[in-house]
Amino acid sequence: MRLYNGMVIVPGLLIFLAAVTFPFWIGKVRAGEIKTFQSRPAPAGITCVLPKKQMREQHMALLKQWRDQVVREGDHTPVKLVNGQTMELSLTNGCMKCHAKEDCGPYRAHATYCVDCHDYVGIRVDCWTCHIDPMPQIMEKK
Amino acid sequence: MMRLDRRDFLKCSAAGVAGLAAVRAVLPASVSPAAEGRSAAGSSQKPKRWAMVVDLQKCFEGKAKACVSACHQWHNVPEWPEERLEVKWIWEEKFSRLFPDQSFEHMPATLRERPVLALCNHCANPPCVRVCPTKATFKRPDGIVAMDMHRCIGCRFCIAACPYGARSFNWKNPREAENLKHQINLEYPTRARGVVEKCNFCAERLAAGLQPICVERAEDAALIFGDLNDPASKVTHVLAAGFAIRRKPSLETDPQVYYLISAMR
Ligand code: HEC
Ligand code: HEC
Ligand code: HEC
Repeated sequence: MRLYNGMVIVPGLLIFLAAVTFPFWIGKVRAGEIKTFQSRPAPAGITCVLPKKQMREQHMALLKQWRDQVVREGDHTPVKLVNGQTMELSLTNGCMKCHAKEDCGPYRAHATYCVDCHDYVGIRVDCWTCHIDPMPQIMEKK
Repeated sequence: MMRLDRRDFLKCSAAGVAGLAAVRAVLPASVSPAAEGRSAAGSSQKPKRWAMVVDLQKCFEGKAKACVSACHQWHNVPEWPEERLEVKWIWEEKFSRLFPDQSFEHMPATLRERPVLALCNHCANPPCVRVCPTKATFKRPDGIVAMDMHRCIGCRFCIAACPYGARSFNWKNPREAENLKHQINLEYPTRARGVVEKCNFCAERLAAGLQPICVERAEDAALIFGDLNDPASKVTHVLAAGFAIRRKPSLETDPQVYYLISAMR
């Protein structure tokens, strides 16, 4: 069997293969640049809206449901947390007010906590162009 | 390979759309049970009909001066030095410009030139809602013409449709305005570049049982706010016992901001 135009086809095939497998090897090449996200120990005496596993999987859906409930239906009824306390249906004054508290421990701060994981999974959350991250102001007051 | 001519393609598409519609007709209950429960619970009460009365005389006496900055501070409205970038929820404008139909050459020039408060009229028949292609602006059952910033695509049809100039476009990122760099109210989000914004009758404060911030800050009840469906409310009383006008009523938008000329005795 003879391969005609091998000079073109073989390098062409190699380039094609490299492009197709790009997503599989780029991670290895850039391993140093990619942040990791470590699971963190639970702080004592303070809980999230749902148990941790559900929170991890469902917080985006939850936020969108609240958004529609508040903005479109005008229903601001506060929600119950796992430990029975209530919380305002609000990104800044609900989630972030608590996630900015010192007793939230390793779960504290938008920039070092929420964003760490979002970077790790490779998504950009645009809510913060409008919704305010209270953390910088809290730090300033100190 | 199967070949589709244009007619077959259209038939297949139509069948596909019909099929999807049928599936959706069967499914909606299972998609969002929580949403259904809420709307059923909310409908048991008689809807409100929020409205505002601006007392012109008190306005002229400067008793509503604090309103504009109070509102803009509360809602994190950016202040731009250039007029073409201006964003406003409530503002002052000459009488003759707010009420062109009621102005004439021989009226007192002091009245014609006097600044009067203006804000979104929360029309019962809002043209902005009709033109919005994404339903980002919508009329709530309580009469508030609300904005859903999450849906606004910045097409500005609503700005063109509003006969009262009550809507502003964010040409620039509001967080870069000098006033918001220094002072920001955590209680309310800012907006982003590329969305339209306007007065929301302080829907977020009403939900917490408070009065709108402008009404709260006006002295001597220069602004009155309440529920027109409630015969005992102060707005109902004031309107029933005086003479009030509205901006451009001939456009039939049915504005819900009333300007009280005189309380009849
Ligand atoms: C263009 C600006 C803008 C963007 C972007 C935006 N929001 Fe909002 N959001 C608002 C405004 C304005 C309100 C109304 C607040 C009110 O009436 O109290 C709001 C209200 C909400 C509320 C309910 C009340 C509150 O204060 O939190 C939730 C929840 C919410 N948004 C979630 C989100 C999420 C999640 C994202 C990102 C996916 C997002 N928003 C992006 C402007 C924005
Ligand atoms: C009252 C405080 C409080 C509030 C309010 C709160 N959280 Fe949490 N959140 C926590 C704590 C504490 C944890 C750790 C939970 C645990 O370990 O059980 C947590 C965990 C989480 C996790 C899981 C993280 C992981 O590493 O798996 C996410 C995601 C999260 N929160 C997002 C949110 C969002 C979004 C909101 C608003 C809808 C919110 N939280 C509201 C305190 C709070
Ligand atoms: C353990 C990882 C993790 C942590 C911690 C985390 N998130 Fe997320 N978040 C995700 C993932 C994954 C998605 C993307 C889901 C998708 O694209 O469907 C997401 C999506 C979102 C979205 C929706 C964005 C959009 O545009 O649709 C919001 C809002 C959000 N997160 C808020 C938060 C907030 C606020 C915190 C901190 C309190 C937080 N998240 C912490 C993993 C995390």
